[in-house]
Amino acid sequence: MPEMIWKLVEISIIIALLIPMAAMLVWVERRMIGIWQDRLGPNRVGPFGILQSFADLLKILGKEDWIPPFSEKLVFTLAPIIGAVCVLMSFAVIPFAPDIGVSDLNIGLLFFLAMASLAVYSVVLAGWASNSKYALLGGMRAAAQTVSYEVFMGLSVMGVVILSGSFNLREVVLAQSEGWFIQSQFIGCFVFLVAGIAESHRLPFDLPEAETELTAGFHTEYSGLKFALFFLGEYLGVTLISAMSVVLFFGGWLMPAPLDTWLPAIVWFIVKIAFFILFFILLRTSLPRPRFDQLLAFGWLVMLPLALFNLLATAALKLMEVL
Amino acid sequence: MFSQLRTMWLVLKHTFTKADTVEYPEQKPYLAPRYRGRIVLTREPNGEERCVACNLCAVACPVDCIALQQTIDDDGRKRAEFFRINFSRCILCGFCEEACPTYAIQLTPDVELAEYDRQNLVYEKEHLLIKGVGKYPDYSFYQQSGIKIKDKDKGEGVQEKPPIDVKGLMP
Amino acid sequence: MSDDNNTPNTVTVYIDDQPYQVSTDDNLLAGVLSQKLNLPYFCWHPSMGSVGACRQCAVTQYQDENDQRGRLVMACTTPVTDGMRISLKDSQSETFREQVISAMMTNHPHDCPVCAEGGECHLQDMTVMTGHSTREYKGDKRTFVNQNLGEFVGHEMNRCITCYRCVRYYKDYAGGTDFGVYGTSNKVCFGRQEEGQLESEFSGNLIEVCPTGVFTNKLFSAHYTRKWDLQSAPSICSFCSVGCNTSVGERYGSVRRVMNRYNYDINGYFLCDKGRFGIGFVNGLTRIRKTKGISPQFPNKLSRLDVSKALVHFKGKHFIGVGSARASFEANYYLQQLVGKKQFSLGYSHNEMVFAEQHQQFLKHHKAPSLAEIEQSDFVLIIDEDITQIAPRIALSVRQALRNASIEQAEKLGVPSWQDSAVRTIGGNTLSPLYLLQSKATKLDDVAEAVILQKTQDTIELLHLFTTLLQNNHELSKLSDDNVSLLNKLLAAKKPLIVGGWSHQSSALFSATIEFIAVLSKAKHTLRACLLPPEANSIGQLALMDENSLSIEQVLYKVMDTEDEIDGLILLENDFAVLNDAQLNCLKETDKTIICLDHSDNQITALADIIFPAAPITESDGHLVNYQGQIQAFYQVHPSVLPVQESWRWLSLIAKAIYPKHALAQEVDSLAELHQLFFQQDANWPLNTAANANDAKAIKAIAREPHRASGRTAKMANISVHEAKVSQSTDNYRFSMEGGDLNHATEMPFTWSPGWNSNQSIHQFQRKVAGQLTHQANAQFIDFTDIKRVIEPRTPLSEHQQCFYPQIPWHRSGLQSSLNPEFALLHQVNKVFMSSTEIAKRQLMENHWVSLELTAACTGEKRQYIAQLLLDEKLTGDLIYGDIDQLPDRIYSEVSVSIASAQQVESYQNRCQQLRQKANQDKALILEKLKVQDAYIPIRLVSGGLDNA
Repeated sequence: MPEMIWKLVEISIIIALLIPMAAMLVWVERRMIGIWQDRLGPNRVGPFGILQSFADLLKILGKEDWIPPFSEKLVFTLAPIIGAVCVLMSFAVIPFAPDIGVSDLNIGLLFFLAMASLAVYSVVLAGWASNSKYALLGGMRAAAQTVSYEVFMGLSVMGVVILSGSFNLREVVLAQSEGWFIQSQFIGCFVFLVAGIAESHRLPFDLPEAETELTAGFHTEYSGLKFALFFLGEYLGVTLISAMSVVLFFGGWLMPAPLDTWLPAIVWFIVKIAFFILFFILLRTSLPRPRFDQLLAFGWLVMLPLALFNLLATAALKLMEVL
Repeated sequence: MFSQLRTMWLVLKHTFTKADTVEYPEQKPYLAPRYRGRIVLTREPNGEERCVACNLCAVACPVDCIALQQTIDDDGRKRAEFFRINFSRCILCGFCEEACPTYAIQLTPDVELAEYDRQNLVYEKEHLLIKGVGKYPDYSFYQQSGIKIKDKDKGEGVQEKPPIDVKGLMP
Repeated sequence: MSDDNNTPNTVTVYIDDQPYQVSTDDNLLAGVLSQKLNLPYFCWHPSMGSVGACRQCAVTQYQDENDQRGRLVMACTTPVTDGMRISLKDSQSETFREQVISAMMTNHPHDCPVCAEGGECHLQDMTVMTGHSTREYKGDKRTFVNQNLGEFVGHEMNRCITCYRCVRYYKDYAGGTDFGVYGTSNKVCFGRQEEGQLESEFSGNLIEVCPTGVFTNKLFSAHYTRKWDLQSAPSICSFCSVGCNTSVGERYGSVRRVMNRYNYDINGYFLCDKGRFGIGFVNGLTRIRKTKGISPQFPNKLSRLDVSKALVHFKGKHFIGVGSARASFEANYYLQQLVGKKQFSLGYSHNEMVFAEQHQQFLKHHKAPSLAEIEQSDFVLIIDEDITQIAPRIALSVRQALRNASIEQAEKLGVPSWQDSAVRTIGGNTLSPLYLLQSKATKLDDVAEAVILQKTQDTIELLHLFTTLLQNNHELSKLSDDNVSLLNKLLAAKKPLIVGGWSHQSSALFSATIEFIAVLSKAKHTLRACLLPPEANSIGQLALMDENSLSIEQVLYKVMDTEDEIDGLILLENDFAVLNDAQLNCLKETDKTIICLDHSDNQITALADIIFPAAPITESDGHLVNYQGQIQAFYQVHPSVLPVQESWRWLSLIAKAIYPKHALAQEVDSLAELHQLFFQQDANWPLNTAANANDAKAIKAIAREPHRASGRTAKMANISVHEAKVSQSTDNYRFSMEGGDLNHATEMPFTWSPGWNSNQSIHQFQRKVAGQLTHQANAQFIDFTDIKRVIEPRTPLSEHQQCFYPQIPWHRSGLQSSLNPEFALLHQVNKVFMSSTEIAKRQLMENHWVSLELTAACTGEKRQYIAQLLLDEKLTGDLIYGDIDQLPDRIYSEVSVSIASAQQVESYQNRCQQLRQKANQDKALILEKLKVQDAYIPIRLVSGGLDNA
């Protein structure tokens, strides 16, 4: 029983940290983009503008939470909740540190993939329930994009599974104590990152939103708290993909081999995540959005063969006991 | 692929360049004298209004935010009975200044045009008219045109011959 | 100038190697412009022909297709020949044209910003068209001292480019005598011999004829706006029965000016001054803008409910309706239907009813010619009608008709009619015969073959004599030489024209005229005759008239009669000008309800119990019927500000309150709905616009504003920064700059086409230059032959021997003219004309002040006037005529003239002075009021009627 309570406390702490972190991420992103574009970014609210997100949150809470009369009201309300919940659920299997982590599910990786696939329902349902053409187009794009990219997202991590021999993420991390999987799985890592960006609808793969073409894509009709949930989902998604990359390819909480262990494991984990988040922001700053057909063609014609090749090669090398 | 990576690298390099942002209002940016800000109506060197209410600014205005009505004063000058600019519509494009044949309407480097109430952005002639000559210190339209006004009779303007004696027979 | 629609005389002309079918009836310039090609010109005018003065329309003509050099010719003086090859685009002629403009610009002042012509200036257009952009001549500019040309036309001689159009128009075309060209070489000046009011009734056309801003509209300049800012609507002049087409312009809620609207059959390119400068009455000081006798529930918002509450106790009561020839055809018809034919008066006195009845019968047999047809005549007889004052535009056409003799002469020598100066040289003083049978001098006397000045009685006798002669072929011995030649030339003419009218007030003369025309037309089938009624919709009134129609006297009798169950009068835009003081007093004393619908205060609105402010012509949709019976539409220039609304809207409210069971007591939202309603009730309703309305819907509504209109987001920003919605129109034109192609409008609100900002752009909308408009709607006429009933004309009152013939100048007839202070300023001094024998007989002296005592024929009232005595050599016997201000009556049975005392003269002159001062004050007041209104534009979102609650 106390174990149960301890678990609940742990879950609460993780959620309580993740959500403000997602909010902070908005500010971090805007400041970083600012820096890279020779601007300052938001710097007025609080020291260095750190409270900008809270000002934004206050504003967004003050907005009318409007449900369009022409929409499918129940689904319209449900969609953003599904999105946020799916991402949050995925965090359950992330091993933050040797002794931190909600669940050591032995099919942790599969659970993550399942949740990532479920998240697309949020977008598709939002697009459909809005009963507006821009939203629907956004939803359709999201469906096609997610379905395509989750295929080789799954394939790309199989190399890791082969190497670690487990779907349990904690074991995946531990399996890297001899050397991070990035050494052998750089192709898998690349495919995973690209697929991850696509799964979380981040630039340059934010075609479901594509404000230059579709007003605001699937969330055109959303406002107020529901819109905030989508936003939350997106930034949690960024964090999640970063965390997964770290866990799968960059040794999780493990310190880089040559360094001493004078920092706690969780800090290493956070530092690594931060690196990937900044990488995602850099991508957003520098790369333009491809056309939708280019996106799908890139997925099926480049990424899929790459992922298959990676899997085959890894399997072959494993069989030959090179790895 | 290489181009994408190069782009990312170039962007990344900007981490170490200084931001161009000027922190207005603590820091005031430099605005050149010909900057296109708030619109004013200027006067001739002798203090008379330059605007002759010809309506060219109004017709040049792409957002139709200038309205005026012409009137003729006792001294023979044409002036604007009223002259109104709706700055809540104005896009500060400067077309009015370019269209103005008398250098009356000029844009100034004052850009601080914010109001809490849009109605306060409607400027009438008394708000627009300044005491000075603006960017063109010497120009006086009536000296260039053939029109007779109180203190300038026919033939007394720039590049004008004295009026013709119709009854004269000399060729 | 000849009829265009069938053009058998076309030949192929190669313009820049492209073949075009060009008519040989006109010169090459007109041919090029008819192909909608751009070729600059100044001195040529479609209705004044060519003189080749400005050298602007130079083109290169080639011998054949191998000719590379070509030679410059002036297109306006070059006839069109088959297979000719010309070029507009070659550098030789282009450079030439550019240099002609550049020479003009050496002296043209730099004053476009303050020039009223700017934005619709032909010179600006042509300068842009030739590509001239920089004045390279560095010398000084020539200047002129301007003249004061009176109330209407401004003068700025500096701008002149010496094209000679003004003087050719004013002297040659309009027959003016007080305008000319003076000076030599580069010092040529156009103006009057001395400063003063231009005397011609057509002086306003100088403004449109002048290609630049030498002549400008003074009234417009006083309250000026650019053409591109004017919201315009097609309208009809409401001052006389000709029905000239006008384009009325508005800005900031007030009417600014009237411009000519081309109509091939009627006014062509020209208007008279009354139509052009008289529109000020809609901005007058006495405009009615509030209701009287109705207490609205909310002070500033009158609703339909308020009106019906005020009228509810009249439900089922008996009213007499009095229409007027000032109100629209629809409104008159509506009122007649509501009150019933037996309770309806057209607003004519007994005497006028006699005219009306005869005129209606006359129209069954004779269709009046259009102005274009009048210009084809080769013989004109005018019977005691001063058409230069009653219907000035017709006088201008008659003047053109007189040129036909010299055109014919020139054509015999092979000189085409468009070679203006050549034709005038050949023709010399040759004019087609014009005979004037009249009781007073008119401005056509100078071009008449013979002016027969005689009393009405003598004219009647003469016409009777003519009639009997024609019927019985008696010898002509009884006639004087003039009269013999008149009759001979009349019978010899190919297209004779007879003009008569109502203004002489003698029903005997009117019937003698009709009888003469009837007899003559049997002998001469080509005879055309037109009788001119007094007002804009007089003929529309005749269409409504039947044997039950009441005269004003009958109306008064019914009102006064206690036996008769009449509860009141509904007056439709009728100011009862025909009433004398005694009759007016009767009306004042009656306790019957008087309901007035009018736009300005007058003697009868002062007595009214209920006043509904009616919209004047510029704020209404409706139709007027001109002297030919042609039904012409006019449209709102701007929505009227409630509670002012169109008379027919008020009548619909009155109908619902007083006649709720009447079939026409229905809510109508637009004129089209009203017409449909009328048509449902009466299949004979001549304006079945139901079908037209469907057509109209197919065409996109036309914008009333040019696409360059400015100030949309600022003009009302001082009232509220939130822009008001554009006013919604209920007709086929929009109160906005957005709308369908101007080219598809059957009636164009204004004319503009790319590169042509001035009114000269009209040739882009004509089938060929000076021809019919491309999209001119088919003219609709009232068919009087349909009226089967023969009204037995009522017996005229005994005719009085007339002793004094008053002249009625154009600027002093009708309520609407009296509202223009500028018109009051035109009156100089009272004048009375006598023959030398009469002066001697009465022991008077020429050019002296006299006191004139006139006895009105119908009331016996005596009035005294001071006037200047002038000699008219042409007068015979005791004929006396004169121009006296503020004469209440038209017929005077007695006149006594004595020398005025110095005191009388002084008091008269003081009074004149006061009147002039008053007029000048009014002028200033109106301008002041309009300027206040500019700043606070009265807005109205929907141009429909009152709201329900």
